[in-house]
Amino acid sequence: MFHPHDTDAYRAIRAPQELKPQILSQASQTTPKPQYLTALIAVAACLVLLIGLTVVHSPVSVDIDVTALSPTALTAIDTASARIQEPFFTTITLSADSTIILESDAHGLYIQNGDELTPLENRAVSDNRMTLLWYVEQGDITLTINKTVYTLRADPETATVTVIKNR
Amino acid sequence: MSRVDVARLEAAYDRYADMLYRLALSHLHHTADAMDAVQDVFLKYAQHHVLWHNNDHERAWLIRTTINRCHDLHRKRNLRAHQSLDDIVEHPAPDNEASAVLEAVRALPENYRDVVVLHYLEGFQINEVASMLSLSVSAVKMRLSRARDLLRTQL
Repeated sequence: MFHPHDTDAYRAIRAPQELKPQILSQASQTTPKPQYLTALIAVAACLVLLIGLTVVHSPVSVDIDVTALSPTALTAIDTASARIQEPFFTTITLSADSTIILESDAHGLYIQNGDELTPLENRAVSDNRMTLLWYVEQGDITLTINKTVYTLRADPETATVTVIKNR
Repeated sequence: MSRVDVARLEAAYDRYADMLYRLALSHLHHTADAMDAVQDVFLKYAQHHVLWHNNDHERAWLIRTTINRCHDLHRKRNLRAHQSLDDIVEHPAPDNEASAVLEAVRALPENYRDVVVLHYLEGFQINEVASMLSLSVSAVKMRLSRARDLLRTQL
């Protein structure tokens, strides 16, 4: 069905030459977000989480904190939602007093450690605090955390992500 | 931006801009919108601080971000009252047979068009396409099969 001349004809389409100088010029005028701002947002998110945990005495041992829309941090006990910050990822921070046993066979799920991303393999990961980066595609991802099943539902159309604790 | 950041952006542009532009064009059919989409993606790339796991990860991010940006622009464009004749896409003039095939690909529903463009026209392996689009390999194969069926009826 497809012949080399089809692909040749397709690949003959090139980005216009004026695009590169436009992008480089625009990029040189943008200021990257300072690293300290990211740290500040993370500290603020932790404080909100701590306050939330103090106020809400919940029997649930694991909380999922959806911090996709910085600097707003939503503490999730049963459900939470937030806007997706990036078109590609959303960030989900898990925290607990004890070790988290996390399992998922979801494709495109990464654990962030500093600037490094490690794919979450199929089996358990142990930590008491971790940040997950998730390739957002419409559909659900299921995480099992300490035997409790959570559904992570992303809707790129409305740019929202919802965390649902399954009873 | 530092000199290192500019060099990084320029290198990524040289590697991927043509492919991303073609991908944007297949979604938007509109040269000005396709240029806007590619520009937005590279500006976002310039501000992105995550270290890429490898080149595949970086490329997947660029492709996924381009598709999402095209969706945004498509929504905005639907709000426009009319379209300027100057903005309508001008493709190079390939021979008639190739042109017919490409037009048929452009007319495919988006889910099928993306996998056809990335696999048959850009030459990526099925597992690479699956990774880029966050789909399973079997889902990509299914979409390719259905796309071929649709193309057969049109060609």
